[in-house]
Amino acid sequence: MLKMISNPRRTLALVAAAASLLVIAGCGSSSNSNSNASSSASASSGASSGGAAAGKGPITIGVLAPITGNLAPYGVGMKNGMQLAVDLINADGGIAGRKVAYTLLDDQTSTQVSATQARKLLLQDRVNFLLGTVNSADTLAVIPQAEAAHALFIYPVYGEDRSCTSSNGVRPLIFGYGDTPEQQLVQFVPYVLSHLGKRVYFIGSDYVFPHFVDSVFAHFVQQDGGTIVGTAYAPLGTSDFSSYIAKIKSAHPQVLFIAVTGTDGVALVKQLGQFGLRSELKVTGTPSFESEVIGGFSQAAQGVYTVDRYFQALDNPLNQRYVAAYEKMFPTAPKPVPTTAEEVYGSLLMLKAAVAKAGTINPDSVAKALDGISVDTPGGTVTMNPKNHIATTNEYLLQVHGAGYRLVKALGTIPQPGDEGCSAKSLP
Amino acid sequence: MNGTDVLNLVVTSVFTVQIALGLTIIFGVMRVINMAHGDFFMLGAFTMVTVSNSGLPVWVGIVLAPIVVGALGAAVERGIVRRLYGRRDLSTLLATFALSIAFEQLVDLIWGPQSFTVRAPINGTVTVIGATYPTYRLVAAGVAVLVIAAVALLIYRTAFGIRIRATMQDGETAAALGTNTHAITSSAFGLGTALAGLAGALMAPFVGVNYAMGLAQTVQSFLVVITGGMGSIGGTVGGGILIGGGQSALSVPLSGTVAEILVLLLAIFVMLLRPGGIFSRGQARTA
Repeated sequence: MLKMISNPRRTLALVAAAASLLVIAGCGSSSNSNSNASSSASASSGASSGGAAAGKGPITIGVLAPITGNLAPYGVGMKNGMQLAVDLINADGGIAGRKVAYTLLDDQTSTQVSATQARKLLLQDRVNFLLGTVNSADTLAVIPQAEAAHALFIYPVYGEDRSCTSSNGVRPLIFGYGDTPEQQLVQFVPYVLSHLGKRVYFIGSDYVFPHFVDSVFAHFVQQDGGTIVGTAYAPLGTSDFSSYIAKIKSAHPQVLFIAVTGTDGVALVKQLGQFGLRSELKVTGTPSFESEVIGGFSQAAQGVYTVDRYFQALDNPLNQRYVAAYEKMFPTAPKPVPTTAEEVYGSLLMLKAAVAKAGTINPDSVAKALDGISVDTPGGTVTMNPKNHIATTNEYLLQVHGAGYRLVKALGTIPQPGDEGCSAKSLP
Repeated sequence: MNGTDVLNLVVTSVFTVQIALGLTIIFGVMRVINMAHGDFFMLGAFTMVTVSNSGLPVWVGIVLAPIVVGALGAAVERGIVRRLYGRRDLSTLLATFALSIAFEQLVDLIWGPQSFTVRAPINGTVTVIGATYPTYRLVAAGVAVLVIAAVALLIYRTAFGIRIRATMQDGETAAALGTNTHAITSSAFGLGTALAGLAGALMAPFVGVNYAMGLAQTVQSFLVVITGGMGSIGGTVGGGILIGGGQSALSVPLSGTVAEILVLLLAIFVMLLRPGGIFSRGQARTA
């Protein structure tokens, strides 16, 4: 009948070729994205002032962001955030009286590309400061480049942040402005256990970061008297969670903590509702419900509990001004304002304060000035912890509400516990 | 294995078969390895997103998706793939791969990189074989089964089906005997892509819809046709149950990652031991 292959081996060769193409595609549709490197309007090319002390030209900042690849929503948040931050800071008189210019390159969520682009920014464009990366593996790839070029590098977004100190102590030029799972969960878990239930189930994507979130989460659950009734990991790219949902159901948890990342989380939440589980248990989690990804599925995720250092509805004048400026600059951008954008702005505000304090853009002096510095940001007051170079920041317990979040409880200002949260043991 | 697991297995198998069937038809008629197959699935899902966002009933999307995607597929065949027939190289494979990238980037440009959801046309759950299961999932799988049956009837019981099979077996002779093989190839491409588009529309209410969702389906469909046997409808059904159902069943006692590895190993063993497909000595040659 329809069996008409004359030569199965030739077909196999074709299939093998197809398979290798799929592998290429799987590595992030990256080959086409060099042209995505975008740069701010004009001035960044004249960055020949290098690392010298106060000059007349603009202060230049190199930014690495995943504009393509599966972290693109974060990269786009970073890109928008940078455009707005530079606009706002220049409108407020720039940094130490000098205008700010920046060059943003796509790191493609690839360690190799991240390292190459970092070198390009540092050695060819000779930027004064380096900012960026979302994926922690990329951060680790960029740190040696920054240190080799003796440049100050700020990692602005949420992550495990095990990269700002070396085994010999703090890496002097590397700073984590982003918060960590420890900071997010240390107050969040006790609230969840006492208000939502003590029997919890953890489900995450099967790669390093959710495993790390799990270890932090499990630690706090045990410490605070909860019970973990089950743990499951789904491979990246899972779109049908029905078999996982069957397992969750039979474990009878009161609380489900979701660390399924990116677009997979959308499918999971949607399916939980369809299987009728949303009424049986409370759904919580991070980073599944972050502002960068919630836009597409806020409807399905109403009432889910999460935690973040920033949210659009924060009620303070600085944030009201920020949100208005963001919506004016990006009228069609997905709602709500992404935390990544606010973090990039906060990083620049902190850098501005440090340069003002140091009176120079010399990286060593600015790094020294960053230690212990406090700035007011739309998300609240942020202080750079000199012990581990990780920002002490506000955390807010939130519930998905409408297209964004509503505040359940302000958890206060939370430092990264201990000073080895930044250990770089994972570095080669 | 409880009732929920059984229903999961059935539903997963049905959709795996439906998507792979489209790939099988396209390969059977044209010998084209359609690397963009999963992207037609993705475009079907985005048809649903568009329909649902414009306030129309979701059912409209389910009807519209195969028409829109099938028409696009037929146009792709006429505009691109047809010009590359007869080349004994990887031209069509590379062309459809390029098309896959183009579709994804285009959707990314228009809709952005985030994931979308579509409201299910039927809410609530029913209790079947002791399991509380989402009603819409069962209805969608039922629709898919009907469509698969209809396609089988179309190919085995109609004059159009005879022409398709004739073109599959020997295009030149079929053309010499008066079959308009041009019409056959573009309608077969349209039919194959419409199947993927319909599956995308049916599944959109319970998966996350985003521009990159097609790749996993392309991989899955290739695994099905490799294990089931290239170009055989019976083999595709068997391969779909083996790959889709196997993955679903294995992830009950094992972790999802281990289940995925085992299914991939299975596909490798089939390739090594039976390059013509696991059913190559069975039903595939008869009927």
